[in-house]
Amino acid sequence: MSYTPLAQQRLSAFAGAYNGAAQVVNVSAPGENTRALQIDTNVPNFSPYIGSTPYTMKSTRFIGRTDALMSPVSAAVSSFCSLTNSANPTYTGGPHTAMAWQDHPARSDFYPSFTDEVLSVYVNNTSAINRIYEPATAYDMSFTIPIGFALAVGVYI
Amino acid sequence: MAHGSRCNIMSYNMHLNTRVRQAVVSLWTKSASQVMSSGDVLTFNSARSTGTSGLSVDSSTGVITLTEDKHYWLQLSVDVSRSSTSATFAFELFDQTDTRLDHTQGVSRAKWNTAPSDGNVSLTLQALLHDSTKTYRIKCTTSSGTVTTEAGFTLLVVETDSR
Repeated sequence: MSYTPLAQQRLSAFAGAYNGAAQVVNVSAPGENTRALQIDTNVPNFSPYIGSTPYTMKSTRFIGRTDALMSPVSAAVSSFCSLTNSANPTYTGGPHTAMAWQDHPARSDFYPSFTDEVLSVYVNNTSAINRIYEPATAYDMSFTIPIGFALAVGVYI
Repeated sequence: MAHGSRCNIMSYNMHLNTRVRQAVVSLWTKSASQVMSSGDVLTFNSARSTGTSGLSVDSSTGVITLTEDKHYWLQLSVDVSRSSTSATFAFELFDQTDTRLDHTQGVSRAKWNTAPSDGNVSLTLQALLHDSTKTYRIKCTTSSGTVTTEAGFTLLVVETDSR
């Protein structure tokens, strides 16, 4: 009986994951800019998104968003988060940063652009390097995220 | 012998998890604006697709039905104008019992806030759906007045076989 392995074919399955508990992401020291969001729970009935190591997503294209409240509220503090290669945690640009999304404390005074808040992420993780969410701020502050409000949904490739 | 059999099963399962599934992409649009008050259901009346879609939207009621044995990834791009520039609005997904779906179904709402104390805004609703025994609706809520859909209001649906 012959058997044709399918391992060389491309995978296409939907997956999703979210933070299974409310969390407060503290950036305790001014200038500190590396804190992982805990996106640790897979959406039921779909392919598992989170592997054996929390916070990592491999070989995916997805759209995610995180809804959070900043503290303190200051016009000087506007950055929120970026998706970054955990092996090279820089958020200032380059091939390892997918895209940032931001909060702005003064948005009651003007209308934010799409890129202020909405995250569209493309991750072509051909080198199987893990990715990680990181807030990007140079201020002493925190982000409060309700359960399920950090959500990433996408497709394996 | 037993050890060898186990290894074969493990290898086979790994291959199953990486098989290709047929995918169909559909884009639903509206040919005319829809003026929506709080609680109204969003409708679509036009679709183009790369194949035969398993998802349909009733153009009158906005009820979304699914074909079984498929998985669906919905991405709603919100494009509206408001009768009141101070109004907050949201688009959220409900099932046939009027239960709002949340992150446990892979759903994130689209919401426009005018106050920073109310969390971030997003004009993209997304969802992962698979339960064809249910029907779904996208409903609008607004804090005041109405919202009117504009030409950029679209629903992108990517679907695959779930078997």
